[in-house]
Formats: sequence, structure tokens, C-alpha cells
Amino acid sequence: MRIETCYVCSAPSYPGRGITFVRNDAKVFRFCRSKCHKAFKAKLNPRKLRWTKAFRRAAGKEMSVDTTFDFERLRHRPVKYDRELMKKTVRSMERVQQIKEAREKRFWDKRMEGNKKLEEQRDLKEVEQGLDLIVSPLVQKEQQKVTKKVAQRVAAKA
Amino acid sequence: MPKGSRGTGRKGHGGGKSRTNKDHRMDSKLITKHRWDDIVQKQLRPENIEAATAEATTLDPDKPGLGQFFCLSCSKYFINAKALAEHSATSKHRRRLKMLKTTKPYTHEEAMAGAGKGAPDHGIGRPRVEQMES
Repeated sequence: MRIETCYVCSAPSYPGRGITFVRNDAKVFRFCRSKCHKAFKAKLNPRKLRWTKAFRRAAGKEMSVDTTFDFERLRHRPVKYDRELMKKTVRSMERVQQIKEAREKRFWDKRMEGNKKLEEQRDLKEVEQGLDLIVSPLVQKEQQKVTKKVAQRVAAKA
Repeated sequence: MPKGSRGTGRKGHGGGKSRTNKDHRMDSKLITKHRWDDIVQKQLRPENIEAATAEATTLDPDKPGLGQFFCLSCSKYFINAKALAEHSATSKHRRRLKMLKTTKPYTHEEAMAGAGKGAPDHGIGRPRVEQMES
């Protein structure tokens, strides 16, 4: 049994799911669902569709170069069953997944680093522009008058 | 109806085109008449271009201009050399040619890489011819 990868969205497609298209030059294309199949038939480039993994990688939204990607791959190499090897593989899979998740989190944190500052700036600007919603313009005017008077008094005293 | 194919928009003109200027259509981006990009990109490589044009321009009385004037990148036959030259000067053709020449074709490997899988492992290759002889 082999879990195939969708040509468009890179999702896993299990046996019995999705559709396979073999082009007349013997190239095989696998799709996980009709949405992906339709995108292919419309000759859309998966690299340009925002909902695909290919887009996310090409746009630098996800980790693309990493050593954890070297474990899971298509293998056309038969391996003789070995209980010890199986045991080791299953154990290491867990550890590899842990490391992968940690690295992904680090990548995400780095990508989102500047966001908090940007958000703060945006919020401040919004408050400044919408101040009349919090304090009525009339009151604001009065306050300005008062501050002006105080400033004048201070200037006169000095 | 899929996005790429359009109705004629008129009655009594089966299969005809409702508008003359094809560049200003809403869905001109989605015209799917051309061949698969990856195949065309392979044909446009300097080592393949001659063979591909030779194959496409074999004498065929059913094609426009006996099949002699063919644009590889747009997969289109023209009636004479002048029409082909005019087509080659259009921005639509040049845009497509540039896209085909500058971008890397999308492959299943890229999809697999997106799923976190490495390059496929094809195992031990077939023995080389020299080794067989010795």
C-alpha cells in the first residue's frame, strides 16, 4: 500500500480516494479530490494557487529547506522485512516528528516576529483617526482652549 | 461549463466567436487551448526545438497553410509566413514565450516536497554498458 501525494495540493491520498490521470506521454498525475482535478484541467499552476502547499513553500510561508524532509520520500527500493529495523524506524519516527514540529514553530515565530510592532502602530493610528468617536469633537475643542489658556498663563508668568 | 470554455453568446452562430478582440476577455488568462506547459517548455529547449518544429510542420492538407507555419509556444498554425510573423510580434505571444522560457515547470516532485517529502529514491540503477562488456 502506498499513500500518494496530490499533484495540486500535496495532501495525502489513500487507496480508493481521489483520481489518477495518465497523460498520453505516460506521465502520472494524482489528485486527492475533484477540486484539485478541476484546477489541473483548467491548467492552473499550483504554484500560483494560494491554498496549495507548493504556493506556501514558493512564497516562503513554510519551511522549505530542512534535514527532516530527508526521511519521508518515495522509495523504489525494496527492503527486506527486519523486525529490529522496523522497531528502530517506528521509534525514530516519533523523535523526527518532534524535531520537525519544533523547527516549524521556530520558523513560524521568526516569520511573525515583526507583526506585534506593526499591529501596535496600526492600532495607535486607528485611535488617532477615530478619536472623535471616543471624545466628542466639541469637548476636544474645549480642552484645546483650556490647554491654550494654561500655556498662555505659564508664558506670562515666566 | 468549465471556466476555460465559453459559450458563443449568440443564437444561430454555433461555435462562432462573439467578440473579435480576444485580449480583452475577462477570462483570457484561463484559455486552455494551448498544450501542457511542461511539454512545450521541453520542446522549446535549444536541443529539442528543431526536432519539435520539424515534427509539427510536416505537410498536412487539413491544417491551415498546409501545416507549414506553426508557433511552438502557443501551439497554433498560421496560413502564411506573414501571419506567423505578425503573431510573433504580439504581446500575448511574447508574454507566453517569456513565461515558458523563464519559469521552471511545475512537477509532481514539487508537490511532494510541499508535503515534506525529499527527492525520490530510485534505488540501485541498472548496470552500465561498459561494465556489462568487461
